[in-house]
Amino acid sequence: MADWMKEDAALEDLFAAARRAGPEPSGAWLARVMEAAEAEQAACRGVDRARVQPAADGGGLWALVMGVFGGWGALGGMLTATVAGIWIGFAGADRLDLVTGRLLGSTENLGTVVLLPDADLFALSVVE
Amino acid sequence: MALDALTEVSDEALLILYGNGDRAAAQSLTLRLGPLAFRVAYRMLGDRAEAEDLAQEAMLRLWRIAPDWRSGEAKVSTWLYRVVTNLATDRLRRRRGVGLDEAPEVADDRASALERMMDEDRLAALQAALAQLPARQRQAVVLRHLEGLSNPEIAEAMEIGVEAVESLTARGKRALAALLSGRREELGFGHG
Repeated sequence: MADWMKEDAALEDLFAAARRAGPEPSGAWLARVMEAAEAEQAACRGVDRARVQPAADGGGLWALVMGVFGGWGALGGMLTATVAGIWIGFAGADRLDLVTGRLLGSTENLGTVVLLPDADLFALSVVE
Repeated sequence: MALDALTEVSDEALLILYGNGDRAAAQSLTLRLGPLAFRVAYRMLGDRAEAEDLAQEAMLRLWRIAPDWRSGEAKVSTWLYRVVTNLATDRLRRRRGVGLDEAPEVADDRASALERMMDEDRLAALQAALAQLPARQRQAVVLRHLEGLSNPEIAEAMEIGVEAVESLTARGKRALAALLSGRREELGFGHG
């Protein structure tokens, strides 16, 4: 057998022996790692709890609900969407003009909205 | 969840369970991955106390990444191999104060180093020879020949190409053979 083959086989032998007798950590070290794992878990749970718990200065359950949904603005939006959904459900899509008509008046000219009329542009140039 | 029920669960599923606060998952992951982290750290550093310290740091990083772990991106063990070997490389670099990849492939005083190891057994000789390899070669040899990873897995852990892995392991093996060649009889070389 060629020298390099012998050498390679011997090295493979040595690797195999090393794999079988791999260094093992002590029990005390494993216990420390486990302790750290549980401490990190507890710290993580603490952060999660703080995210959803109501403030200590009061508010109770209502404040918790507000926190979860994102405050008054979000609740108002949800309420509007709910009422609109109920209305569409009862009245049908063909009666939607009743709502838009009442809220916006005539909708015939809604396609052309002048955001900055010419007169205002003239006023601005005078001021400058 | 009971610890014995987790033996068939993948590392990734365990990590997600851990992130959700499952205590048994913490225990199972520690027993499964702790020895791996320690073993690789020891192979890289050659010092038990330092290996324990480094492996503990790597495990702490694992616990901290658990809540943000992105499923399917990498194997947990590959991620851990990468963290341990990178931390070890940093330490070796600080220890020696030179760019390890620029270090000579085989130290000049290898003969005297091997003389000093005359009373040690085969595995200690291997460990001492490993310690003389440049960090990247040592990393590749440890992962390939002592941890049994495939070349693509090593490429992922070391963030290099498969060809570079092949080159590193081949050069590492040649250097090891050269370092150990003076102890052929003692180490079982030349009995084929």
